[in-house]
Amino acid sequence: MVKLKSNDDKEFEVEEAAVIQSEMIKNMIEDGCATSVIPLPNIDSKTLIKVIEYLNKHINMGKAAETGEEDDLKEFDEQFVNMGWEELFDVIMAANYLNIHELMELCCQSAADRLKNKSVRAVREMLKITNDLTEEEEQEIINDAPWAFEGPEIDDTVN
Amino acid sequence: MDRLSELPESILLHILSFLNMRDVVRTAILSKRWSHLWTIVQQVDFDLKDFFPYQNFVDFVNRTLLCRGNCKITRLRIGLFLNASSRKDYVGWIMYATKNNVEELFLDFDSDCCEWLPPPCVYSNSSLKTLRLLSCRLVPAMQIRWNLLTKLTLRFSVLWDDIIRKIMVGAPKLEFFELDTCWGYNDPTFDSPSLRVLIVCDDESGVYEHGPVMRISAPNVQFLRLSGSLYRKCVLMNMPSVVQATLDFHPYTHSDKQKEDLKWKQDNLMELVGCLQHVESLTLGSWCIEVLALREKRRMPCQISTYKCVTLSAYMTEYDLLGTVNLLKGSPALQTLIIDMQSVLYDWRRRAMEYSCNSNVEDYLASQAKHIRCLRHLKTVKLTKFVEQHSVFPFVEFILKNGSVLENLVIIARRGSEENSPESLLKVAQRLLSMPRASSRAVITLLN
Repeated sequence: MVKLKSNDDKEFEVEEAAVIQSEMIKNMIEDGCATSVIPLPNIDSKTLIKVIEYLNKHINMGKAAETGEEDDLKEFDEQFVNMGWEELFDVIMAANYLNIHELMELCCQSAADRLKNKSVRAVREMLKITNDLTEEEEQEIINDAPWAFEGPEIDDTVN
Repeated sequence: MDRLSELPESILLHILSFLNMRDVVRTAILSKRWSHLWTIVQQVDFDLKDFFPYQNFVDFVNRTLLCRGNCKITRLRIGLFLNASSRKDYVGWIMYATKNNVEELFLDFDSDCCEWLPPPCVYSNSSLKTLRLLSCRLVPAMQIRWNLLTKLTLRFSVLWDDIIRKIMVGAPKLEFFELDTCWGYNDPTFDSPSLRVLIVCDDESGVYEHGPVMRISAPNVQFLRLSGSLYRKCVLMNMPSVVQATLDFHPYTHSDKQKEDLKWKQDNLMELVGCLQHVESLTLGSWCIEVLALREKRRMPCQISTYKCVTLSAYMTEYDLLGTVNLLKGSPALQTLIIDMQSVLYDWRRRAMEYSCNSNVEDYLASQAKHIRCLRHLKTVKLTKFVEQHSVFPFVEFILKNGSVLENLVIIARRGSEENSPESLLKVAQRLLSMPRASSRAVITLLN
């Protein structure tokens, strides 16, 4: 078992087989730096619980492919990324910091899927982006590639 | 608060790498922070279907590439319709990518009976790791040099045996080779020492002549998948290393001629199965099980194999049971059986066969138990995409009653299926638990 500590001082025990999906922790274990608790100053307990949930489910990825359990994992993944933007970004940051490749791909894919075909206005609202471009600057970019900004499939809804 | 301002640029770029370029370009006017990201994203995907007319697409791609300058590009995908596109446009884009050392190149050029000739920079390239070409014609006169290429997919393309030989020599690191509905070859030899995965889908062309027999040799391949219409005889010449094999042919059966041809296709399938007796894991598609069923009806035994794992795509009709039993009788070492259930059958040809199959399923299975030696080794039986249909329950009952060392029976219900309501799954569970089990260790798992 490996002990992880979140930045709000909560400790979690995780099986080594699960936690080594994190390249960062795997390296720490290999270098003998994981004998006591591993502090994770960038991750809060809420996010860490999500990440551990993922790690535990994906513990035997290779084996799943052999035994036809991929469907089950796929369904888990679909449910897993069903979360709000803020939570998703927290998990992405954690996956990036811990270097968990599959989790990073899953979450970034989900973020991209939500942006697909969305209008500029919708993306700004979803991601709470403040537009600091002047109207002229904006128009200039649109004039360069007008076809990217118009079309029946462009979706102005926020969800 | 702008949540995104916390995300480092590398992560933003990673998210953009999953989007096509039209979506990516729109992010340029989100805010100042975003305005340059679209020009430095390393994975670039252009698709004609988002643009009309064609000239808009050309202008868009040209302008985007111009704005990128010589920024690193690791992946380029271009989706277009060949008949409506101009060669000078796409060749220019391919040259841009190869000059900037692209590593993954996906040229999804759909077409209506026409092919394109790749420019020389595609034949000789020392940065490509993954390459996918559609509707192209590779010419033998060109020298192939793909020093780093590990993954190659050719679809709806024309290539001769000669070119396959050149690929084997010119791509010393090739691990994965997929030939999907290609024409021109008759005796392909896939003898690269590094090649592990070979996927061949062989289907007829309205234009190209083909030899009556295809002879495949692949001495180092470990994962083999063969599919297509089996329009010509398929012979495996040299396949000693295969560990996992999949056979999933679907011959055409509409015309009388095609129906007559079924006889030799069935024989051909059994020859292929015979050549793969040594594999550890075999997967068979629904037509293949049909052929086994026919043999079972005629009391023809299956060849004896050493399979440890068998996966079957079956409807679980009575006819499928015949085929399954035929295979099980020939697989004494089997430990894992996976049945990937197919949805209800609407094929009238198959319906007719089902009608001719009117024995009592339970009695038939009981009579076969003593011939199925693997029942003493079978540890895991799994049914995926489960729906209560046809003869699935008699089969499960038979396995539980006779599998003396069975450890796991796993049933994964098909998602989004009307039949799998919570109430009906509860009934399924009750029925499963009431069945007698030969193995005291057998655990039944029902997953929704």
